[in-house]
Amino acid sequence: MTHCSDEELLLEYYGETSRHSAHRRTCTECDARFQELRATLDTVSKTVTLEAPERGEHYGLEVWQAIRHRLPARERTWHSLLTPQWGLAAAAVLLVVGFTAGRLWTGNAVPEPQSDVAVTVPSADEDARRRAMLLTVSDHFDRSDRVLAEIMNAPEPDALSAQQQWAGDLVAASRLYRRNAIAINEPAVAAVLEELERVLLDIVHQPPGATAADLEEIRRRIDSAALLFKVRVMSNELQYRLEQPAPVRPTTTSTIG
Amino acid sequence: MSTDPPSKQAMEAGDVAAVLARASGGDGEAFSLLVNSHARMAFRLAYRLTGDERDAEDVVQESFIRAYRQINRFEARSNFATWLHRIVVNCAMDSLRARHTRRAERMGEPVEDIPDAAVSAEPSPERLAMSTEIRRRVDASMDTLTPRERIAFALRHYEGRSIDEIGRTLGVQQSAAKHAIFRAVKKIRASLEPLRRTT
Repeated sequence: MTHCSDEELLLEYYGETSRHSAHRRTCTECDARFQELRATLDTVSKTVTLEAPERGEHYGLEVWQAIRHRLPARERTWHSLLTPQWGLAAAAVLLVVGFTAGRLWTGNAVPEPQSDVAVTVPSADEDARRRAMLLTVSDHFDRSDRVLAEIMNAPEPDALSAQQQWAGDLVAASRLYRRNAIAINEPAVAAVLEELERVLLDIVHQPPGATAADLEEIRRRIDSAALLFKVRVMSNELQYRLEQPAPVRPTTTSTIG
Repeated sequence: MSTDPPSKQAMEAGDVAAVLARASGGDGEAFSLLVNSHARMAFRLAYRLTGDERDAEDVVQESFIRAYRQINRFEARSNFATWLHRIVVNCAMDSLRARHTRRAERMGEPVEDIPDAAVSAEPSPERLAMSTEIRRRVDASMDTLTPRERIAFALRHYEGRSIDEIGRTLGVQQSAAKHAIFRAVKKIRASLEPLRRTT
């Protein structure tokens, strides 16, 4: 009679196919070895769980902040251009090209005076204004973060009405900051502010006596836009830029990248 | 119930393919969403494989950097989490190899000649709780496993992966994966043998 090898017993313990399962069940000796193996491995499972220490809700953000400056720069490929923002940018370029072509096509032979300024260097005043503006927006993102986090973690729907007052204050500020961000050529900041504004408005417009379903719907909207994450990344990004000694230059593409 | 942050659920329900297409086009914002939704999963796995919090943190970061570099190789029909799982395993393997080498250098032993069970044969006299002693011994024996044995054992025993899957993840034949698990279990059993004799 051929008894089961240790390997076969182990395969059986892990539920992998073993040709000798039938033999083990009828053989006292093999079954005793199997029970002993099982007892040992079950004990290992119970005493050494290898359960990872819990990571907080900001863990994804922490990892992103730790690696983002270490990521290699990559060229954007054609399909990444198919986003609404890039579509708008492409339309603007086409508009300028069309306008210039139109001017040339009409045969305007009179040469236009050329500008001597090729690169605009921000003046000290300009830089100070930009810094002040970005500092305010960063603070605005932090306050919005608290309101959104309260809603995401609220145990009861009552929390929604408790946050409505705060959200109302933030909406007006958000709108103003978005316009300023566009004016100082910060489209990425403006884009996050726009998304934030939309969700804040949803919160403000909730009727009194919100239900658990209303709260869940608001959470779903915050979540589907990854808004909390974007607000935190943008806030950190602004703080990082403000800490740099050099003039704070505008970011023309998404700074979450 | 899932303990993942809500963003993970939203990503799964939403169009992950679109986010991946943007990420593979060099869109950092899209990639940051992938990091956000998969970081906890990556950490849990990295911790199980390395058994060390700091090493697990490093493995997570290295895995996402590697994923970003290789994202053009990701096939759209595949599952991102599965693809990332494989990258985390490989990074954990590198981390364990580095740890193994450092230890061998400290001990002045050749890397591949670590003894099967470098734990004392006798249980400590002050043993008050059996589980503490078992844990100590299993931990010690886990440290004697080669990186491949440790990873194969963790994937089989703690992650419930099949031997076939483990072989594919490690890029080795199924038989090699199987033997790595056998050797790991043999070492762990050997480390617990003295306790079994005394009980």
